Amino acid sequence: MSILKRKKIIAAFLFLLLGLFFFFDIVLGSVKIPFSDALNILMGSSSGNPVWNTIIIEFRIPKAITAILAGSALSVSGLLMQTFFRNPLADPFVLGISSGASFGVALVVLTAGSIGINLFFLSGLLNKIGITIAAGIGAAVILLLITFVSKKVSSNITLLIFGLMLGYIIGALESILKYFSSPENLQGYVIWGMGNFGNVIWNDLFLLIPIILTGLIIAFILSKPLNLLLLGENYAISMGVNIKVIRLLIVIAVGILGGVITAFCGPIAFIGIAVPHITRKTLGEFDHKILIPAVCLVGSILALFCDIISQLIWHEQTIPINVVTSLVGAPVVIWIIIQQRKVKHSFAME
Amino acid sequence: MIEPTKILYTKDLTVGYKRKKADDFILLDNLNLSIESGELICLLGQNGFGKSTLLRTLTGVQKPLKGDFFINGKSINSYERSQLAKVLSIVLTDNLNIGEVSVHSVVSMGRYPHNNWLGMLSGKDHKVINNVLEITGLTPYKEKMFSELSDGFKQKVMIARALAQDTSIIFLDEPTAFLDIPTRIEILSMLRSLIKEFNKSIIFSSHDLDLALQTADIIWLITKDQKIEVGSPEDLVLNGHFEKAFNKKEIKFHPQRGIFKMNRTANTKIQVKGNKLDVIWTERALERIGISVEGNEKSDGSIQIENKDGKLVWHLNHNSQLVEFHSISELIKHLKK
Repeated sequence: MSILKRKKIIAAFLFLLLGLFFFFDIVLGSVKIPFSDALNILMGSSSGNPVWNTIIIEFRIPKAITAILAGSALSVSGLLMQTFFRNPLADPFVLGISSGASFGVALVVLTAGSIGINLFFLSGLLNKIGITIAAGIGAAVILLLITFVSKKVSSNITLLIFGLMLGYIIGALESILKYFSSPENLQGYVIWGMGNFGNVIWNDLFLLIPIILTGLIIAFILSKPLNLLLLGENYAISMGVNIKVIRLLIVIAVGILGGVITAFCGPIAFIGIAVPHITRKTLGEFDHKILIPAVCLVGSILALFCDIISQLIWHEQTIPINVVTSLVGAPVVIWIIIQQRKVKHSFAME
Repeated sequence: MIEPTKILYTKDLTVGYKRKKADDFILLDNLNLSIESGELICLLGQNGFGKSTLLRTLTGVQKPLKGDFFINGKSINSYERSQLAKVLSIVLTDNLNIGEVSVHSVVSMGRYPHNNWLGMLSGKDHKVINNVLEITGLTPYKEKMFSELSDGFKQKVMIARALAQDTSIIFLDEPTAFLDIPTRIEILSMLRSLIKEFNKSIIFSSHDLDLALQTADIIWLITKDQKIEVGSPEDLVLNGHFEKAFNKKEIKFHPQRGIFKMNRTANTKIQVKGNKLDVIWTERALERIGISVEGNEKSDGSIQIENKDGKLVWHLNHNSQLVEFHSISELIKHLKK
C-alpha cells in the first residue's frame, strides 16, 4: 500500500501549496501590503489601512478565487478532451475551442450598441450573462466541428493542425468584426483578449461559481465512461457505454468549462493541455474519479502561480496572464510532442 | 423453436452495408447459425468476404440488413447496451496506446458493466479479477504498466479483461494478427483452456488457417457464394469446402498437410530417400524452388540422404552426374542453376 501512501503525501503537499499560493496571490501585487496586515484582513479583522481592506476583499480575493476556478475548469476540460479524442495534445485552447468562445464574445462585445438586441448586454451582470452564453455556444460549436473531423483523421498531429487552422479562420473573422467596430468596443475587446483573472468581481462570482461547479460535477459523473474511453470507443461501447449520451455530456461540460472561463477571463493558453499531463505523470494515475479532483488541484495551483508571476515581473504593472501561461505551458506541449513516438492507430474494425 | 442449449442463434440473418444511392451491399445472405456453450468457433474466410462485418453485427455494433439473432433466447433488438455488456464481450485488434494504466486496472475495467456508477470494485469484483489473472497467468505482471507490454501480452490482458466481464460469449477479432508464431499458438491454446475452465463460448475470426484447423471445435467458413459452411475443421477439409473457399491461381490447399502451398508447375521431378524427417525438410526446400518430389523411378534424378558420423550428407544424382552436399542450402544453390 506504499503507492497509496505516496499518493496521500502528494495530495497533502498539493493542498499545502494551494493554500500558500492563494495567500501569496492575495498578498503580492502593485500595492504593497504587509504580510501581517494581509493575514489580519483574511481573518476578518481590520488592518492599518482601510484602503488595504478594500483592495484585498473587493479585488484580490475574487481574483484569486477566479484563478482557482479558471485553473480547475480549463484543466478538467483539457483532461476530458484528451481522453475523449485519445489525443495527448487536445485542450480547449489548442483545438480552437477558446477561439470559438472568443468569437462569441467578439460578436457581443464588438457589435455592442450597433445592433438593437445587444443593447440588452450593455452594462453590468446582464452584459456578462450575454457574453457567457455567446462564449459557451461558440465553444460548443467548435467542439462539435472538431469531434466530426476527429472521425475523419487518424493522426493526432493532423487534428492539432486542423484546430490551429480553425483558430486562424476564426481569428480572421474576428479581424473583420474589429475593423467595423467602434474604438471603445475594440479597446475593451483587446484588453479582454490578453487574459485577466482580475476582471471578475464578487457579483460575477455568484454566477461563475455555480456554473463552473455544474461543469465539474458533470465531468466527475462521467469518470467511469471516461475510464472506459481510454480503451477506445469500440471497447467502451462493448462494456455498456452509451456513446451518444456520453459524447453529448462531454461536449456540454467542455462547452461550459472552457467557454465560460474564456468569457470571464479571456482566452487562457496552455493550462488545459499542461495540467493533465503534469498530474498524470506525478500521480501515475489513470482513473478519472481521482484524476478530475487532482487536476483541479494542480490547475488551481498553476493558475495562481502564473497570476503571481504576472504581478512580480514588473512591480508597478501586471503583465497579461496569457504571456505567463504560454511561457509555462508551451514547453510542456513541446515535451509531449518529442515524447510521443507512436501515432494514433486507426481501428481494425472500422 | 428456441433450443435451451443455444446461447446465440441467427434467423435468416443478412449482413452487409446500406448504401445511399444503390441497393444494399450484401456480404452474407440468409444465415442460420448457432453457438452452443463451451464451443470454440473460428470464423474463417478471405479478406473482404465479411468476417469483420459479421462480427460487428453479432456484437450489436452494426444493424443487420435483414433477419434477427437471439442471445439467451432474447432478440438483439430488445437489449439495452448495458445489458448486452453482461452477455457478450469483445477483444479487438486496436493498437492501444494508453498511459499510466496497470495490467490489473485494465482487467478490472472488465467489471464495469457489473459495478456502480463510479466503478468501485466490490469484494466479488476483486475475487473475479484475481481468479482471471491467475488463470491467464498474468498475476506476476499485474502491477506492470500496460503500455510497456509486448503485443502478445497486451492481447492476453485484453482477453483477461473480457473474461472479467463474465459474459456467456466472447468475440475476438483476429486475435493472432500482428503476433509472432509462438505467441499465436500461446494465445490460441489459452482460448482452448479457457473454454474448459469457464465453459464459455468463444468465437474468433482468423485468416491463420493451419492454426485455426488445429484449435477450433467448429469452423464457420465463409464461401464464395455469400454463405457460411459450418462443421468441424476435418469435415470441411474432407468434403472439399476448404479447397473451394480458398483456392486461387497461385496457391493451392494441400489436404494431406492442412496447409496452403504455392501453386507452381514443376518441370523437374526428383525422388528423395533417407531418414523420414530429413526427407520431409529436403522435400520442402525442393518444392520451394519449383521441383516436384513425387517419388517414382521415372524421376529426373534422385537424392540419397546419408548420416555420416552424425553429419548429414546429400548425394544428388542428376543429369547423370553425382554430386555431394553437406547442407540443404548448398544443394538448393546447385539445383537452381
